[in-house]
Amino acid sequence: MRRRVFLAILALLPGWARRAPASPPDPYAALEAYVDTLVPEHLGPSASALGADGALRELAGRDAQMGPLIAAGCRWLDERARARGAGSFAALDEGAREAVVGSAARAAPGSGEWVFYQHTRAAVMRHYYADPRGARAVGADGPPQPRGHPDPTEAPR
Amino acid sequence: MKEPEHDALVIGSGAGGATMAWALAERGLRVLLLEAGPAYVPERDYGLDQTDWELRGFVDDVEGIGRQTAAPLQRLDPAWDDLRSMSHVRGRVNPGPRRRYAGYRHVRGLGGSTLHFVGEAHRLNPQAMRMRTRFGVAADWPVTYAELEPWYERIERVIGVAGPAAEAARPRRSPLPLPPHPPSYASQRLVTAGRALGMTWVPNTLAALSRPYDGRPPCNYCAGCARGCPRRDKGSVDVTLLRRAAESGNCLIRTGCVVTHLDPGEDDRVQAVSYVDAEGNVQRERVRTVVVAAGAVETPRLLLLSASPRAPGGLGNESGLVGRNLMETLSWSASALHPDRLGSHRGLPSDVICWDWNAPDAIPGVVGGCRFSPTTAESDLLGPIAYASRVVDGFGRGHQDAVRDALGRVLSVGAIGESLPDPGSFVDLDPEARDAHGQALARIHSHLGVRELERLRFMARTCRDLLAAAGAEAPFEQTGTYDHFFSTHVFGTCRMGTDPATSVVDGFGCSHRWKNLVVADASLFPSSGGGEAPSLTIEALALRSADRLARRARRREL
Ligand SMILES: Cc1cc2nc3c(=O)[nH]c(=O)nc-3n(C[C@H](O)[C@H](O)[C@H](O)COP(=O)(O)OP(=O)(O)OC[C@H]3O[C@@H](n4cnc5c(N)ncnc54)[C@H](O)[C@@H]3O)c2cc1C
Ligand code: SF4
Repeated sequence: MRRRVFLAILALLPGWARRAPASPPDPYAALEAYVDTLVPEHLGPSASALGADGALRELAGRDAQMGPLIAAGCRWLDERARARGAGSFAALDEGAREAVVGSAARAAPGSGEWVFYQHTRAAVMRHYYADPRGARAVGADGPPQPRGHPDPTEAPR
Repeated sequence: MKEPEHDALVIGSGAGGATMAWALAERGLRVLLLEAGPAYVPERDYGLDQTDWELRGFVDDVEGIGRQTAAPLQRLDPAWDDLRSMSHVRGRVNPGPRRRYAGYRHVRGLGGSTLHFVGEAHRLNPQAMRMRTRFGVAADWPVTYAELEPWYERIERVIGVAGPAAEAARPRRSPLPLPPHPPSYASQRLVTAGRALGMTWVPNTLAALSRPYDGRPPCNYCAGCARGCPRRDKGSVDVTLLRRAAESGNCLIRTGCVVTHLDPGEDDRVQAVSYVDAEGNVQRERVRTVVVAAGAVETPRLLLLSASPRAPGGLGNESGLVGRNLMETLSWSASALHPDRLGSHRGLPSDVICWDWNAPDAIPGVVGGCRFSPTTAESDLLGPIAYASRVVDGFGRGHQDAVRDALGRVLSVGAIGESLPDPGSFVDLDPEARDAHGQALARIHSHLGVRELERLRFMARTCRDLLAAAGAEAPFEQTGTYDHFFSTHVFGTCRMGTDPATSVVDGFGCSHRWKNLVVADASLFPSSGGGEAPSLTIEALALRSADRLARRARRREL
């Protein structure tokens, strides 16, 4: 999966890079607003409050394929924001951010923005819901052991 | 080189190797067991009690996949597009034009692949043991069900198997040692839906304790078997057979020892085994008897790597069949949301089973059977990460509300079907890829013929029908082995039989030519069965073979 997906994204990257204006000093500046669009403060803390943007930065730093993908994705977010008259993705209001991220989610499978969205969404969900505060937000039980589920034959309480 | 210090050297400590090591040691033979992987301590190494438990696969997962390579797999045909794996989040899981290799799933560790198995402990349907005579496919078993029955019975008692007292298709002389586990609340929905479709569901037969047994506690239904059981109630061979082997005082277990080749000597006997020990030193051990039980992919690899002037085509490969007749896991799984809260993250992963189409002539128009069981746990749809990333699409506040609403409502059902030998499915040595010791890796070739695809189509359709009958929504995820090679059960690569021209070993796993060479793992299977889990049969065969070896040793015939 990874290999095919990244062949696709690498093929798209130069085009993205050409269309994008000069890189801002921090290539990942859009991340905080982006992860909070994926998981805003609602039933629990926001994704950035649980460090999801930091986790993506860390992933970008250690993974030779994810690094360029995340940087290109952030450029794309800022570019979409500028097309809407804002200085950056972070400067958009919540509704506009959702519209931009929604367009990545609905983009053609295999397109650059779709691949960026799919990979980062999965990574953010992993980070957020592995944290007990994230898990509690949606009412998940804690770890399966050591308690187990003593009576799984009954309807859940 | 000094005389052998052991009566038997066993390579590999999975279902087959562990049974051999224990049974020989129990019968007074001195055994040396060499295992490539490490020993795990369940309470310490399995992460089911950690807050990030869902991120952790089985400890060895990363290494467990990818030690083999695969030759290019078949092109996908639009006529079978209904069998392509899909997810409502990502669309087609494999959008490419060819079947994709997703791995031979196994564990390298003391206990082998039983460490992360889900404990199904099935006897083979006797009807599936005569596929050549009855249907002209695969090969007949050189051992009958009746001959295996006492060994099944013995192994069920040693590892602690729970299940129904009797089963029409698989007669037993005495009941299982433990009563069946009650079906979970979610599985009860499948049973009811199945009944509406005319299906019969029964409690599954499981190596998981329904009562305290053997000094081990009963299962507490955490659903986490695939991540390793920290309670030791699951009957993986490390906490059952290998524990007893060590206690016998006759079995020396060495972990971290990768066997690199076997040296054929004079008189059609294997003379020695070479391995790299945990410190990286090359060792050579003289052998009286050598048992190869490295699993159905690594066993043929090891024999092919042991080619020499005395065995030019590979050790024990006089028939040319070492590595051939690979049978893989033909499987399908469909997952959907149920309108009710089911708490489907609770219970044993595969607590009920439907055997209605298990006999080889049960599926209309297709030779080879299959079985159905719940797959929510095996599909890893248990915790909030899976729900947030796979079950509920999208993002934002609505997404989080939907995750909260969906938790515990996933219902998954899956099927495993017969895999018949195909000339395009085999294991050979990769001409290029090497392991850390410079040895060629095993290369997997796989081809699914029309018969397998028709069987798979039946399996997929029945899974969808069952979810619909249970009142679930349309499946959000369906995964199958049409567009992916992904095998948890592999068989057949050192087929046993009576004729040296058409089999590698005899009905006791002994090489037709090499007098002290025995194979004791899933490589032996002449046919795969109609979806039965293989470990119990591997163990029963090994126990029967060990008993004969021990008797021959006592008569000084080894
Ligand atoms: C997720 C999952 C669930 C499963 N569930 C079930 C189930 O419920 N019931 C069931 O019956 N089966 C189940 N199986 C399948 C089952 O685990 C295997 O079929 C079975 O363990 C195979 O036994 P084996 O002895 O052939 O090989 P393995 O158990 O794979 O053992 C082979 C051993 O040999 C060692 N080895 C390999 N090469 C070397 C070497 N060169 N030197 C030294 N050692 C070596 C390996 O490290 C390994 O420990 C499942 C499998 C998976 C992946
Ligand atoms: S479900 Fe039972 S057998 Fe499986 S890991 Fe949990 S406690 Fe062990």
